Formats: sequence, C-alpha cells, structure tokens
Amino acid sequence: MTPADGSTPLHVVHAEPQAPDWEAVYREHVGPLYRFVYARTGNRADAEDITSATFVRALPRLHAGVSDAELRAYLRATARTVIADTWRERHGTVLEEIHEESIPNHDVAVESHADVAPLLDRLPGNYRTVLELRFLRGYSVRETAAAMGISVSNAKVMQLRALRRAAQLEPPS
Amino acid sequence: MSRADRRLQRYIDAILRDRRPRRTPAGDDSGAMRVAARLHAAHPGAADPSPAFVDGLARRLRQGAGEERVPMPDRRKFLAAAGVAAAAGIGAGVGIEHLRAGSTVPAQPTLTPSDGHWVQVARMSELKLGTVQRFSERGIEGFVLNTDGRVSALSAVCTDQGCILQTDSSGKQINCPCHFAQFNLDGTPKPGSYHPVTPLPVIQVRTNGDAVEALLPAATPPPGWNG
Repeated sequence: MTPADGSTPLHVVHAEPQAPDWEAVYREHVGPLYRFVYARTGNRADAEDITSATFVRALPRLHAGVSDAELRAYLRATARTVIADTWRERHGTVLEEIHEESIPNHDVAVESHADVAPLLDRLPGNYRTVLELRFLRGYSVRETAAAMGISVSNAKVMQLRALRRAAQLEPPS
Repeated sequence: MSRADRRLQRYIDAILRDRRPRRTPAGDDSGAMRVAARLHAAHPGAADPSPAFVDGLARRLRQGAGEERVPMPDRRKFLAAAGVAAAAGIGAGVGIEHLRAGSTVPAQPTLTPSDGHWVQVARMSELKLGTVQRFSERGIEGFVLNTDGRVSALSAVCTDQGCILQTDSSGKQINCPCHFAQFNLDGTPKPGSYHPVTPLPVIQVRTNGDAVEALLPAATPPPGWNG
C-alpha cells in the first residue's frame, strides 16, 4: 500500500517466512509432552525419539477446533502407545502404564523433587538416602558409599534393592 | 550379584548417563526400571527438551506438513480453548488477518494504517549505529532501530499476548516480559524461545532531514469512521 503522501518507505525489513499455525500449537505442547515421555523413559535419546514419533503420528490427524485439553490427551495417548512399543521391543515385556494418580499434576510432576518425595518418603531411611544421592543429586556409587559410610559394593546392592522396593510400593494400575 | 542385578545395574548406569538403555530382557525388574527412569527425570533440569531438538523437530514437521498438505488446527481456536483472551497485535491496531492463514506461509506483516501519515518518531542525530529506541505515538508502540546503518522500525507489541516488549541490556534482542519470548532485531522470533511467537510487524519509516518518520495512523479517526 502506498503511504498517504505518495512517498516510498525508506526501508522495510524482510523476515523469514512466518510459521504456520500448527507450529505454534506444536511449540505449546512439545515441552510438556517431552517431560511426560522423559518421566517414563528416563533418558534423552528415547525422550527425543518418542516425542518426535508422537508428533509425526498425531499432527496429521488433528483437525481444526480441537481443544487444548483434547489435544494434550491425544498426544499422551499416542506417546503411551509409542513408549509401550519401544519397551516391548527392547525389554520383551508388556509395559503397564504407571498409575496415573500416582503422578499428580502431570505437567509439573516430573520437574521437581517434591513429586517423587511421596514415594521416597515411604521407603526405609537407607533406601531413601541411596536413591536421593544417586538419582536426585547425581552422586556416583563411590560418592554415595562415602556419604553413607558404607562400602561401595553395599551401596551398589542397596540401590538395586531400593528400586525394587519402590516398585512394589508403586504398583501399576 | 545375580544376573538380574547386573542387568538392572546396567540399566541404571545408562539412565544416569542420560543414555538409551541397551536391549535386554526386563525380567521381573520392569517396575524397578520404571522407578529409576522416573527418579532420574526428577533430577533438576534433567527433563527439559533442548532448544536444538525443539527446533529440529519443528523443521521436520514443517516439511512433512508441506508435502502432505494436512489440515492443521487453528491456533485461534486453541487459544480460545485455553482461555487466552488477548490475541496478537491488539493494542497496535495492526491487522491480524495473517494469523488466520491456513498452511500457507505468510510473510512478516507490515503495519499499514488505512489513513497513514508520516510522523516523526526519532532524530537521526540521536540514532547512532546499534541504537534501538522506543516510541509511543498515535496509538502505536514501536521500536526505531539503527542496526546496520539503515533505519528500520518494528511494532513493540508481542505477537503472543499483546505485552509491550523491551530491549535487553545488550540492545541485541527484544524480550517479552510476560512469557520470555525473544525476538531478533529484524523482528523474527528467536529459535527456541517461548513458543507461539510470529514475527513482529514492520513499521515503515523514512528519513526527512534529521527526522525519522514512521507511517502511522491519523491522530483522530477520519470523519464517518465507525469501526
């Protein structure tokens, strides 16, 4: 459009092509979905692959007008399927979904200590400590053993027992 | 250590190094393995996607979308569903038709008032190289920039929810105080910053002697104007 006085603008900045609408939707959902997947796979490579596979599968099936909550539920259902497939292929067992109620408020659930705390709280003291040091503080087995005043081989065995006990406290639905 | 112990140990070692666990039967330990994954995810900062991954997947999806021409959801409806009231561009009086476009890729919009007038918003003598200056004139919030010796201008209204943008202390980027969206000085959203941002509308500028003038709406609506 020509300005009112007929002159031409001095300089107009040209941008990269603008993202289409779905990309905004994608960017809104990618973080929460990634954290959802990460809480179930525990490693970055799987979380990235499964998040990608989920969006590749789910996006073409979306239609205009779907609500935010519906989309989140759909993405999670798709991700669960991909996680279960991956697990079966890699570990040879059927993966039952973690009890949903055991992870209150999913979006923030996996981001803080606070929310694995109820699980850790139910463990005997040494089990709780060994898991906190190893998983939440990132201590090596050696550092964990030193901090707890036990031998390295004891620390190794104790973390396995602690995980198994925690799994019993946290039965799948 | 039993064979099952060694298997679980290897699984933990992989998870704690943020690596993909190897293929191995889970036996009775699938529950313990899942707890390990969940605990590791609770490690501070462990569970956020890297900006490189987020941008890379966006590129992949964009290519797929172009090829298959799949119908994509309408962002405005999503926003409405999420209870987000403010739409992009409000406050600047900028046309927002570009946001409704479907799977086409619209260019960065240019703010074009129906009744445009050249209005002085800065002085060349004060706009040294690398300067970004805010202006607020005729209902338009904008930036005048002298980034490469040429003067340009951008809307200072975030395209996400209409918050007024600020330059950071370095003067090299524009930040939104509301959701930490970030824009480059050409108005493009910074990759990896807060999600939904479309480019900032360009405001047309020219120099007139020492005056830097922007094409802005008339001071008052033209006669007979009723919205």
